[in-house]
Amino acid sequence: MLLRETIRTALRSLLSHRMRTALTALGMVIGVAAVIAVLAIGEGAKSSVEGHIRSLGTNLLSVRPGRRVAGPVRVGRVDTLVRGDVDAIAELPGVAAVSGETAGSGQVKHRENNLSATVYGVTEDYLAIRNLAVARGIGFGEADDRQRRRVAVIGAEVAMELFGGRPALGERIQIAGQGFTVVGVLEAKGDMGFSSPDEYVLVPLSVHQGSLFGSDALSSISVQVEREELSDEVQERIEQLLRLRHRLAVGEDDDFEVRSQTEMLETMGAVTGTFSALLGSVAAVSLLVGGIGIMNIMLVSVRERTREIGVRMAVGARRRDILMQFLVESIVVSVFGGLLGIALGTGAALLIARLGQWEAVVPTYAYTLALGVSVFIGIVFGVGPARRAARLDPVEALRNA
Amino acid sequence: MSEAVAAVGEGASDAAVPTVEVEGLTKVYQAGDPDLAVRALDGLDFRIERGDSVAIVGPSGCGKSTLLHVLGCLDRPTSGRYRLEGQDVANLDEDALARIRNHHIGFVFQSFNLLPRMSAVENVELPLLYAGVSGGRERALSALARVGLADQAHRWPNELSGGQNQRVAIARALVTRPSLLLGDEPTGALDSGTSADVLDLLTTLHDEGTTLVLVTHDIAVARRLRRAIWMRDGRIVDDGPSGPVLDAFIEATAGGADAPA
Repeated sequence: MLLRETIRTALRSLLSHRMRTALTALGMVIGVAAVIAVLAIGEGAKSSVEGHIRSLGTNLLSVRPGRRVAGPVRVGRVDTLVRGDVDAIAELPGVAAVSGETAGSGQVKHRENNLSATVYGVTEDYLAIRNLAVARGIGFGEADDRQRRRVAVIGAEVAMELFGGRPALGERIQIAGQGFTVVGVLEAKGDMGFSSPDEYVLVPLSVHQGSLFGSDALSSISVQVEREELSDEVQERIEQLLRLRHRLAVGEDDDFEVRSQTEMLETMGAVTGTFSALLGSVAAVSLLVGGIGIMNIMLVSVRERTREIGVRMAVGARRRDILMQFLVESIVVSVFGGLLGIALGTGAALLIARLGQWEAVVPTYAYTLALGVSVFIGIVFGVGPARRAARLDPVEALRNA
Repeated sequence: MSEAVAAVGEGASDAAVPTVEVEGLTKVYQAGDPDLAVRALDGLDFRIERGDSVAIVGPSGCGKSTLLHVLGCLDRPTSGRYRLEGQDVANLDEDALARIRNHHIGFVFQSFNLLPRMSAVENVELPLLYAGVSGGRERALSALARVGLADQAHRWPNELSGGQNQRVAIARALVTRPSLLLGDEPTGALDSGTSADVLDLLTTLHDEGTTLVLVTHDIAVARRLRRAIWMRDGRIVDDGPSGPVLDAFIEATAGGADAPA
């Protein structure tokens, strides 16, 4: 029998039990929607993480205090990096720029406006290394850090909150009760998923470590390498240098870690990968349940239509014609559910993106995959009932009331 | 018995090959224990010439339905030979039997067995879809015209009367121009008026050359056919021109043993 006729017969049979068909397809709708949402969120998270790490700058190495341990968790002392380490790294060959950073949180005030912000102490090269541009003002100069000038560069959002639309440059602000002059406002970057430079308040490192927070420890050192090929080499040199400076004995663990951007991407990827695997298993379970639902209803359908199968055999249907008829029917239900699931999943992904908690991009291959999965489920769970139908004895089937 | 077969055979002597030829046809239903085997057909021998019309009569459980199923290639005999149009079909595989049913056999059932979600013409077209022939719709319409339902082609089975349903079923049985038209109590579910109409239609088809075999409890229906086979316990009791065979059948069953329903 022609495939077109078989599909038409299947549609007719499904349309004659609309409610049943809809409920049967529901499992597939949820399963496929979950698949689409997983892929969209996974893809969105990936591009957001990559974007974030690229935005940190190119050819970057990051030095952080503490011991290197397996997995994303760091333990150990966190006050091992000091200002002297920054100056020493700057002398290494292959290093283009170095910036030491530390962070502390405090109240930032301008007249009646105030907000709580993370205040970063940075050295001169910080803006260049982090690819941050000053929209207005001059940013930090060479002397600011050395002379412990009370100057600040603020993010676009901080400027908006403190000054509304009014110009911020040259204005006085209070950070943790001390007066600072705004010497620059950063270009707006928009939300980058984790922490946005728009919310930064930057002051010279010497001021941060001195009168402001009074702590010698650095939270990280960013190192820009001259050329990407030098990255591994420079990483090694930094490790040797710091072991020497920190007087670590042979066999003693590092009290710092040096990571390249590639390693950072891998760590982030592992986190989003875990998340995707979790959602993926939810999708797999839904699809399994959906498939079992289809199998169940197809078995009911075969039983109900035993006589019809007998009649079809009597007028010349071969076993494979009957098999195809029921298989096509189960594929049609499954694909119908799959198409609705694609629509629902895409809608959910858009909603998630709109709510702004996650970036969500449905990759094109997701649609092909979802359709493929639907057809696959239809075949896998439809073939049993279809074979049962095809194996019926024509005489027995006709006798069925 | 064999003389009777020869006597019936002479009416169709122009046909060199008989439509049906069975020898030692046996069907045994095995229910686990070999001692409980039921011989539904027990070594039947007969021929049906092309263009003949045969009624199969007998009490319930005598094997007449089993015989019809075997003749219609829905079931295979346990042993014995069955030639349909000279072709040995007793040992064909499933697909080949499906093809024989499609090309050479037309079935008419007591309960019509039309598919409820298809219009009259779609039901009639169904065998042609399985045959894979083109122009099925036109042939289906002309088959419907032949049974007098050209104007009801697009009605659904539940919109048609019982008699009309059975006419659609007959059109479906005829549409592939089968060698053999088989009926299992085709008038059993109809009132006497429509029953007569359907019977008229069947005898007209027979007059036009269709070979007809009907299983029936209705002696009046059986009398309209030329020949009758009387069965009991899987064997043929008598076989010959319908008048004498049916008279003997009624006489034997008047006692009650073989009472017709």
